[in-house]
Amino acid sequence: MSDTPRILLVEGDPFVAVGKLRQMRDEWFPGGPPPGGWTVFETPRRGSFDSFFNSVQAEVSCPDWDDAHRVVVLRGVLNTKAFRKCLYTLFDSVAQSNTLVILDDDGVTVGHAADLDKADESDWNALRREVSSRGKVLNVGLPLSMIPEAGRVDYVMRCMQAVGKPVTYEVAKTIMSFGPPERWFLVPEMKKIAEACEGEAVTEKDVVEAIMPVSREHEWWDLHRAIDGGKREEMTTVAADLVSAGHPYDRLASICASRLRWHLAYASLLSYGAGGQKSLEAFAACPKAEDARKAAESRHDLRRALRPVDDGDDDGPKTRGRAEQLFWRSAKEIVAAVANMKPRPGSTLLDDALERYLAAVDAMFDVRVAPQEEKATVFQEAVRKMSWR
Amino acid sequence: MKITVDQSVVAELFRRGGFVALSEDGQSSEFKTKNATRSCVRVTAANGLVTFASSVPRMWCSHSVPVQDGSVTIEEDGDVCIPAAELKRALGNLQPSHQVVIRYSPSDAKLDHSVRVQSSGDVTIGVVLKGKGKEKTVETIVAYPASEFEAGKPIAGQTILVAPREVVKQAYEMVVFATNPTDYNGIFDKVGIFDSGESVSFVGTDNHRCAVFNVKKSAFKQTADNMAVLCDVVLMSPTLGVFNDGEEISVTIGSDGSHIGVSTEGTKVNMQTVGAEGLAKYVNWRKVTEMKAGPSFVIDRNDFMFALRRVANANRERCFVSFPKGSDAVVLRSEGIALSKAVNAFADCETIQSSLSRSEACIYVSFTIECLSKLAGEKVEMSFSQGSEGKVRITSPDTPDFVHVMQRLTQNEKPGSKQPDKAA
Repeated sequence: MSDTPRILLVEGDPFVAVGKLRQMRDEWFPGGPPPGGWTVFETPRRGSFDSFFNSVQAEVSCPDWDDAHRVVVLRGVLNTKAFRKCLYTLFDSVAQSNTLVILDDDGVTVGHAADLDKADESDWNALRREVSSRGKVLNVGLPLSMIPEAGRVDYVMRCMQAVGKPVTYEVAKTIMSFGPPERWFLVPEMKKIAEACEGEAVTEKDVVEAIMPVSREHEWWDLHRAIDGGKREEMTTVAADLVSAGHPYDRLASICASRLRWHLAYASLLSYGAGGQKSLEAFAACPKAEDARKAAESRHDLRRALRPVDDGDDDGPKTRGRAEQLFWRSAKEIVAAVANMKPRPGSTLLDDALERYLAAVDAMFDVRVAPQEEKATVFQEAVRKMSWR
Repeated sequence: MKITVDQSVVAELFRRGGFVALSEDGQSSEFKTKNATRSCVRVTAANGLVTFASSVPRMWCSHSVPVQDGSVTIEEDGDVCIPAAELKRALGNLQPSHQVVIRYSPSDAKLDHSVRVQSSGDVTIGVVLKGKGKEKTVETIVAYPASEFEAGKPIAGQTILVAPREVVKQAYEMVVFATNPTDYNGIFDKVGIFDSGESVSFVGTDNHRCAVFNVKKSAFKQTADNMAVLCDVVLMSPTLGVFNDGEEISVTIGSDGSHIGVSTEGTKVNMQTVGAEGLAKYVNWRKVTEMKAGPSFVIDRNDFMFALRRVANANRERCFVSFPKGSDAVVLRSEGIALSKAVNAFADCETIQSSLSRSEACIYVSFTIECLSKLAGEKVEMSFSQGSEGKVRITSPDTPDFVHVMQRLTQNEKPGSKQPDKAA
């Protein structure tokens, strides 16, 4: 584990960051982390950080009995000086064999926005610089939609400069014209463009040629979103569009299988004739299909734990209280259900469960930190997130 | 079915045979919806025995008493499931002079909307004064068919321990504090029982600390060689609670290793455990508790606890322990990470053995306090490992069979260093 950093800051889009974190977990602990090998702390948004940071410090400063690699994940970075001061103190006490992973949820947005507006280095950059000197900063990219509109072209130029291919204002605008802002995870995309472009300077022609495959790649995201939405009709339409646009069947089948939506995929693929038959064949041949099928059959317990909860319909605080109670209990059950999962090599069940768990944690977090007057709305949204897709 | 049982007997039947139904799992609405008998006590009268039993997926218990003149009589055999919470209320506030009559006549099944299963009629519970036939109170409770009851399978395996309950309970309680009952991996929420040659070792660990209590085999009536079993503390703690001191309990491990049975003559409790798979993930506690002792001190337990509680005011997780040269006191110092308050405490030592001129270590405060609270003697010895091993051992001359080892925490790289300045 000599190549693992003692401190790792993951910044960028939170959803991509969570996926990246999961990928790192699989790399560090093939077959799942050992008991005590992976601990997650969630930053409280209220009250004193004293006992919270004391607990995190004790955990990161405690090595394993056999000096095996242990990872402590700290989720959520508050954009306050007091918080950063505590983080710096925490960095001093990370045990040699441990890794402290800081997964930013929203601090990066604030940081980047501040970077755009101010000439001075932002607090976020100070934190990043501190982590860089002791460990590693991993940027998973940030969608343009999270950058204030006025600063987007400027941000594209900065990103291109960061990857070693400076572009003019006009070229940056061209880059931006491809696809809606929520699709753009800039740093990875910029790297791809930079790799595809030859020569020092990047011209508009280069960009168009380089960006087409990237843009085409984004069409798959519609399928992911449709799967996430769980709406069969939407998924059928998207799948049909992808096939008619010349995308390969086997990739479509593989995505459906890997997302545990094999029954939806089956129904969707059936619904578009000859192309569907080919896709089905590809689906059947997909190595993940059998796993997905088994997982879907055996997820009964998890599904029961994740059953949709009564959202209260806003018909009075008493009902909402009850719904909230159910909500918290379901979250606890998710945790228990995830814990009872037995990971199989290649199985996506645990991944899916973990994803649900993280979503539940996010949902709980959102409700807890929401302003009082917005609590009801945030709660409704959290319940929606919690229900099985 | 009709039985008449003395108040003291039925109370004991319910305490030992119904505690599983009253547990959190038993009262969970999720389990109830699936099978209403999960939250019930099955009352059986057959073959001259009255049996109360209850069951949840992870655990099953039963207690039987034979028919005895006057105190336990069976007028008609049969069995029925009665909701445990209702039965508890019905059996509450009774006097020793009372007898309880439980009657059940099956009737047409009807849908119980509260739990979505078919109930099988009603059971009546009458209370009579001993020697007098007239019932003073009669209570009717909904009943469920005993055929729905999921009784645990009898454990067919090896008996690993036979001992008076107090021997097992004392050893168990000496180490259970070091476990983590909410461990989602299902490994460190268990107390381990292992064969250690001359003694049986009870082990509790949460992967940061490890408590071991050795009991000489002579204290047991029977032990098995090479035994190794993990008991879930959430299941084992209430189980040990239902038995009385002086009773001889047997601990049996199922042949597949996935179940443990704890039983006396009339009471049987089966619970799930993790078999070889769980044992493989368990901490190598023998290796963990071995260490080359370096600096150490013997100290008054109460004095040391007082000092630890003072430093816990600043940081209940960790504090620095140091032995200043030429001093006969140990200095504890803690700092809160956020509020930067600091507490120093000094505890006089009986002896300090330190080969270093100035040794310092960082320890868990809360774990140490919990460990010291378990010990009964006046003196405790704390020793720190030598070399690269980062361990702290706590023992007591008054409790020689107990050893507690915890991980030494990494000290700050730059204690007191300035925070990085914001770049201009």
